[in-house]
Amino acid sequence: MDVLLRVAYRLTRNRHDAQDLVQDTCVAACEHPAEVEAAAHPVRWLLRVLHNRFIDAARRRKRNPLRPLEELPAALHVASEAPGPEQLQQQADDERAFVQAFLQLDDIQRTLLTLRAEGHDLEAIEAITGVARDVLRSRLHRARRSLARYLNEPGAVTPIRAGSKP
Amino acid sequence: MNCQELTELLDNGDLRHLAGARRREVDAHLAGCPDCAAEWRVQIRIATTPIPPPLPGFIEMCRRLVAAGAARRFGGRLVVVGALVVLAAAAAVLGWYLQAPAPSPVQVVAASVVELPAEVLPVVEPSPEPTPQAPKPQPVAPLPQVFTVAVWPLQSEGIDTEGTALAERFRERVITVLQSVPNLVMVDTQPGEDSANADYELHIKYEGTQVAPLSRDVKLEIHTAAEMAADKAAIAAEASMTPEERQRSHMMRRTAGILKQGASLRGGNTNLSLLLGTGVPTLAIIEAVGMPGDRIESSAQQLVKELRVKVFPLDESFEQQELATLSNISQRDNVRVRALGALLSYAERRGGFPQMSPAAVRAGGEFALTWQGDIALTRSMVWEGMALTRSPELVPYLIRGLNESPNEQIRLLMVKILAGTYADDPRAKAALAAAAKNNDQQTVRMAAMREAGDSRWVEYVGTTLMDRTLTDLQRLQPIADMAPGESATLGTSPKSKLVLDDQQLDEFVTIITRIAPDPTAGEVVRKALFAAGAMDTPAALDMLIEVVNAMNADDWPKGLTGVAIMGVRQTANSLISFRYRGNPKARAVIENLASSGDPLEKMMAELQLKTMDMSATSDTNRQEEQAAAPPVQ
Repeated sequence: MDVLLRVAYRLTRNRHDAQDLVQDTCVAACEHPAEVEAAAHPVRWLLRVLHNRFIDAARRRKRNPLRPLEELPAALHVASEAPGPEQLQQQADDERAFVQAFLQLDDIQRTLLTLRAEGHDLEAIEAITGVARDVLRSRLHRARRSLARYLNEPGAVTPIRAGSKP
Repeated sequence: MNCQELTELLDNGDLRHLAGARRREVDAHLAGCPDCAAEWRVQIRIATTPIPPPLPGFIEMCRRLVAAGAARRFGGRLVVVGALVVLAAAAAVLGWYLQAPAPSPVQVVAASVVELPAEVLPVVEPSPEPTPQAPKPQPVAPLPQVFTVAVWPLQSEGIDTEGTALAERFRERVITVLQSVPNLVMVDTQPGEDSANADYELHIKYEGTQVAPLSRDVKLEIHTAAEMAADKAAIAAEASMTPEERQRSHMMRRTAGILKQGASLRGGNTNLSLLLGTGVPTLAIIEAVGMPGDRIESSAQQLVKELRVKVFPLDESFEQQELATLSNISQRDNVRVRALGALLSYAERRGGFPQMSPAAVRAGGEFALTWQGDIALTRSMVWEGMALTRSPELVPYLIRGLNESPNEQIRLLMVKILAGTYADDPRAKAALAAAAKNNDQQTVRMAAMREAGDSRWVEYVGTTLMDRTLTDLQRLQPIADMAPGESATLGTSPKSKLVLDDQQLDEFVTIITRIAPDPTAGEVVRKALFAAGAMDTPAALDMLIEVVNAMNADDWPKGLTGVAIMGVRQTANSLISFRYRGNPKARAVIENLASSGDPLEKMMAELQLKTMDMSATSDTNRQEEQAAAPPVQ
C-alpha cells in the first residue's frame, strides 16, 4: 500500500487524486485476482495497473480540464514541523516551484521519473509501463533534463530533444 | 567516471546505496559536469519528496476493498497472491497507526501478515474511528415479493469503440440473466430522467482503456431509491464544507457506494468478511488478456448472483438451492464454500447469523469437518463463521473436530469455541473434560485442562518452550494459543496470564529469530509474539527490542523469506509502539528507527511516533476525565 501511495502521490502531487488512484488500483487488483496470481512480480502488476489508470485519468482530464482547487502540496505540512518560519517559507517556495516544474512534464515522463525514484530498474520500468528499454533510456534522460530546465526557467515549456544540450 | 557511466547509473543503478569509492567517483564527476549534476539533482529531489499521510479512513477503506476482492475470489480457487496480502498488511499497519487509539490483537497480528504464498487476506477489526460504513442490514421479510429493477443505458466515454461494444454486450447479458430471477420486473429508463423509480437501479459505465490494456472492465453501481436520495443530500451538503471536509465526504460517498451492501459483520468476526464478501462487485471484467472462457457471461452471472445474495429481497427457493449446493459432496469445495457464504449472508440479512436454519448449520458443520482448506486461516475462518450461528446443531461437529482433526491449530480452535460460545452446553463441557483426559495431542489436552481452570497450563507453556526435543513450531504453539482476543466471536480470553522468566524469554527470542524466515510459520510466530509481548513487563519490552534488532532491515533477503522476516519485525515494532507507548525506552527505539536510512522503515517509524503522541494525549485526557468524574455511589 505504501508503495502505491508513494508512487501515486509523486505522480499526481495531490493527495486526493493519489488516493483515488490507489483506490481504483485496489479495486482493479481485487477484481482481477487471476491476473495478479499469474503475475511473476505482483507489485509490478499493481504498479502497472496504477500507471494505466493514471494515464487513462490524465487523458480524460485533458478532455475535461475542469479541475478542483489545487491542493497546496500537503507534504509541506509534514515537512514543516521542525524549521522556523523563514525556513518554512523557503521550503514552501522551493517545493511549490518543484511541483510546478514536475507537473510540466508529460504523464509518461512523470511516471518514469517516479518509478526510478522508487528504485525500480529499467527491466522493472519496462514491465510496468510497456515502454521498450531503449526508448526508456532516452525518455528518462529527456525527462530529467526537461525537469532541470523547468526548474531553472519556470516559464520554459519547450520539450528538449534527446541528445541536445540545453 | 564519464557522462555515459553516470547516465547509466541514473537510469539503472541503485542510487540509494552509493558509498565509498563509487560515491566519490560520482561526486567528482558531478563537480565538473553541470549537465549531469542538474540531472542528478532532479532525480534525487523526486526521490526525497516527502509523502503526506493519507486522509484518516482511507487505509481502512482500501482494506475493505481488498477484503471484498478476496472474498469474491473465494469462489474461485481461494487464492489471493502475496502482493495483496502485503498490501493489506501494510494497509492494516498504516490504518491502525493513523486511526486506532489502541490496537486489538487481531490488528496486531494482521498488521504484520506476510504469509506467502498466501491464499486469503488478513483482516482487521473495523476501526473505531469514523470510516465508511455500510448500512446495517435490517431484517428482511422472507417473502419473495415482486420488485422492480432498472438497468440504465451504458455510459461510455467512447474512446474505445471495441470495448464499448463489449460493455454493451455485457449489459445486454446482465438484463437477460436478471430476467430469470423470480419476481423481478424490469423497468424502462427514460432519457432525461435521473431515476426510473425502480426499487433498484443498476448503472453500468465503461471508461475505456487504451494504454497497455491488461483487461477491459466496467464499473457497476446499484442504487436503491433511498440511497439515491441520501447521496443527493450529501452532495448538496458538501457545498458548504471546507475543502478538507469536502474531500473526506467525497471519499466517504465513493466508498460507501462501493461497499454499501452486505458489509455489516455482527459479532466482530472479521475473518467472516472473507467468506461473505463485503458488497456487490463494483467492477466486472468483460475481457481479459490470456484468460480463458467467456468473461462477459461469467461476469454477468456473478453479478446477478451477488445481487441475489446481498441486495435483492430474500428468496427461499434460492436459499434452498444454495443449501443443496453446500450439502452436495460431489461439488467442488470452492463452490460449496461460496454457498456457505451465501447462506450466512441470508441469515445475517434475516436479523443475525443465529437465524441460520438448523439444516444449513448441519450442512456447514459437515463441510467444515471435511474441508481442509490450504492454510490454517482459511480452515479457521469456516469454523469461526459457523460458530457465529451459535447453533446447538453445531456442537457435534465441533466435538468431532476436537477429537479427529489432523491439525493441532484446528483442535485448539475447537477448544476455544466449545469453551467460549458453548460454555453452557453440557455436551461441550463433557467433550472438553474428555479431551483434557485423553485427547491424543498433548497441547490440546493441556488447553482443555486450562479452560477447566487447571493452572498447570502456565507451567506447560514454559516447559514446552524449553523442550529442545520438539520442533520450533511445537515449542511456540502453546504460547501462540494464548494470544488474547483473536476473535470476539469466540467469547474467550486466556484464563491464565502468560509468564516467562528471563531464560525462557532468551530462548523465545532464539526460536523466533530462527523461525522468522519461514513463511509457513508466520501465523504461529505472530500469535506467539503477540502473546509474549502482551506480558507488559520490562523484560518483555527488552525481548521485543531484541527481536527488532535481530531482524535488521539491512539484512533482509529478497523474496518470501525477506517478507516473512519483515512481518515479524513489524509485529514487534507495533507491539513496542502501542503496548509500551508510555515507556521512554520504547520511544527511543522507534525514534532510532525513524532516523533509519531505509525510507519505508523511516516512514513507518515516523507514523508510529505520531500515533504514540496521539495515544499519549488520549491517555492523559482519559485519566483527567476519570479523575474529574464524580465517584460512583
